[in-house]
Amino acid sequence: MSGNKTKDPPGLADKLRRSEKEITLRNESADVFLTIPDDEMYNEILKLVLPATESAFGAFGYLDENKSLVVPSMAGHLPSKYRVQKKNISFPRDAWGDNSWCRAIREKKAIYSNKPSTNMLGHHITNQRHISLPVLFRGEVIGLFQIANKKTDYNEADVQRLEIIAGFVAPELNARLQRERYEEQGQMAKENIRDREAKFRSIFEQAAIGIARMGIDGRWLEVNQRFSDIVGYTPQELMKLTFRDITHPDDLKNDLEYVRRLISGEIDNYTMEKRYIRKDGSEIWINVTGSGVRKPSGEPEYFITTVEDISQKKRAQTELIQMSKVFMDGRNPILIEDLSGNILRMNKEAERFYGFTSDELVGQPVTAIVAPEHHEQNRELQERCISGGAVRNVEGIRCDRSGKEIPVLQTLSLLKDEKGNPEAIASMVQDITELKLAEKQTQRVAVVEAANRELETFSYSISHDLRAPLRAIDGYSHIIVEDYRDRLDDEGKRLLDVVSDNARKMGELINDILELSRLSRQQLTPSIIDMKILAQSTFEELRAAAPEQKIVLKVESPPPARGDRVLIQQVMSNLLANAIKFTGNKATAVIEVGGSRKNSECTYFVRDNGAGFDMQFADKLFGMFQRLHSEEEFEGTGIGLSIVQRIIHRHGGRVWAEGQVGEGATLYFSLPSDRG
Amino acid sequence: MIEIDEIEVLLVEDNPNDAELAIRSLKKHNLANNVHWVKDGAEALEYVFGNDPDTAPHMNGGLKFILLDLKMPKVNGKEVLKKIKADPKTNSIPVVVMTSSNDDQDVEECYRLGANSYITKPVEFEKFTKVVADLGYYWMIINDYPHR
Repeated sequence: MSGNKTKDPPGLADKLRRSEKEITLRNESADVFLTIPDDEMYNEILKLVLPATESAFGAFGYLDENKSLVVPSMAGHLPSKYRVQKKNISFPRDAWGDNSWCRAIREKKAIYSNKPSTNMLGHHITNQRHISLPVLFRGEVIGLFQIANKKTDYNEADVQRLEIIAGFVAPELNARLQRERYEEQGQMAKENIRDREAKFRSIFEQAAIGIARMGIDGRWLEVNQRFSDIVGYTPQELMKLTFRDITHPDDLKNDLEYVRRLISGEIDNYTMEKRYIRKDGSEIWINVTGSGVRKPSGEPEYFITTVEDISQKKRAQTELIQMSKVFMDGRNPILIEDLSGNILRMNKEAERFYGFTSDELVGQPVTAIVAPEHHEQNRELQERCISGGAVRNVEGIRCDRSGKEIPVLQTLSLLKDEKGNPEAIASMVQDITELKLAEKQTQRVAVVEAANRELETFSYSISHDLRAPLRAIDGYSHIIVEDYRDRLDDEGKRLLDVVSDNARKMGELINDILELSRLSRQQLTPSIIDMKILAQSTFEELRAAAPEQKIVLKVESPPPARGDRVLIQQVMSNLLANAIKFTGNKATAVIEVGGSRKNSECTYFVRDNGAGFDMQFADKLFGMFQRLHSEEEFEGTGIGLSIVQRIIHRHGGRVWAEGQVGEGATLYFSLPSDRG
Repeated sequence: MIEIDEIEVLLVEDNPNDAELAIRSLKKHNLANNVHWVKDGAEALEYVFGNDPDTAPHMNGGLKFILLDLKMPKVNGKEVLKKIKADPKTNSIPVVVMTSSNDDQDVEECYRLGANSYITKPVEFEKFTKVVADLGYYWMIINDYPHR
């Protein structure tokens, strides 16, 4: 259409210009968002906004996750002394006051003022007028514009213009913020992972326990230094080994079982004490824990094992067990008491000794098993022990369950805690019943021996002192007979003879007693005696005294005897003398001597075919002065066999006899055998 | 009064009965008409060593032998024996210990102290007499003495 110029609605050109500007602005800001990656962007936007709003100064910020305002940029066409902020300034939400921009955000609307204000985002700017306008996206404030110092007053139109700008900035800002947030999170996540990685590494490397990653096949994938130190192999060497290679054979079975159950999922982890064999061949006790790491499919991927050197602990354990054993299994009854004397603990031997179980006595005062008359002494000993004195092998008396009193030797030891304070008392006793018995025995023996000695001295001096008067009796009777012969009749002489006879007999008795006494005192001088020769020579001596008698002596081969030669000769002499005496009535006397050895003794015999004796009275045969025949039949004091018995007994042997009246007698004696 | 140098036997015996029997036996066998009897060890030493060295019997060689009992009051037989045998002037006199004791220790000690003989007194009179007679016979007749 030419010619007729239609008139445009008024302001349309303005509107069009404005729209153009807007579109340009929009495009330009979109560009900024797309191309400027970092916080520079805020400044670039401002560079577009300020001219568009004819403002001298502006700030553009966003709200962070905490809804605090962060202003990366405050730009302004200002003298260079007011530089563009390169830093981010943060306005924490809880510090917000009542300034216009705070209100603008809170109220989600623009607030403008043409009056000077002091609480601007840029404090150092003196401003005459400003607009604070929140940037809204889907109803939420995500940022803020503040523009200031237009040459003329701000008006609604300015606000609108800013609103429009804010309108198309909002989605871009939002997108940018979202992206940044994701990136940040991603970054943080990455950092976290890196952090955790680093932390894990340091734990792994520097841990005080051995850590290893082990493949399903048992081969080591990765080990830390401590693990390597524990087993003595370098990490490189370990990579070529499996756990089976270094596990102690006795522990392998259990270990494999655990691993199997771990793989199958029966258990999530396990812990066991086992031994590794180190590179140098030595054993080391370790506590191992194993857990499995699975793939998402559930399949086991690898194991993580931790290994702790427990050799110290094991040693301590063994020591403890051993010490416990010493206590528990010790041969002597031991009680542990507290400082007041109550029983805390007792060992097995104590249970047996006292006849109580631990349960019955623990908690009871120890006096429960101490003899009543010793309670005070017991308390004294405890006190002595606590104050550091020694209580060792002190005699005392304990009671068992039945009330029986047992003599003991007690030893108390003070047990102290780690600080050295008295904590408890260990009391140990030793049963000395047997010792006491032996003591009594020894005492008895000593008493008996003393009595014996006294008796011997007694009999010795008595015999001695009896002899002189006897001599006088006999002597003077004879003198009377000699000197008064012609004045004595036969009866007188006979009477005096009787006196004489008796004196003589008494003399013999005294001799015998003295002889017996002497034998008891005499020392034995042992030697080896040829019994055959002894029998023969003794016989010859005796035979000389009775040559007219017809005697046949048979000596078999008796074994040699071990004894005092003189005394054994006496034995032989007495026995043979008896044999000769009691065969005096036989036409031919037959005397046999023999012997044999059996086990630990030699038995000898002297047999005769003489008068014999009644076995009924056999036990009287060896008694002192016992006779089984009258004086008329056979003379003698009856001490001969007593002497034989005493000698043989002193040698540790036995005597006994067998006989038959009229047929003969056999006298036996035994001597402990010579062992060469 | 018997001359000192005629005393031939010194009998040291505290028991008067034993003394009487011994003297009787010696006399009966004509072995010693000159027997001097002292009742204890002190008297014996007095007699042997005497107060006057010149007149002490030993100097004259008259003492043929001493019959010495052991158990005596005051000074006992062993001491007498010891002293006599320790002194060169007297140790050549035969000392026959005649005592009730047949204790081995006594016998040993007496010989150690220098006894010439040890006899245990028999209880029976006949034996006693015989022993004394045998002793007398031996020491008086058979045994030789240094001539002075």
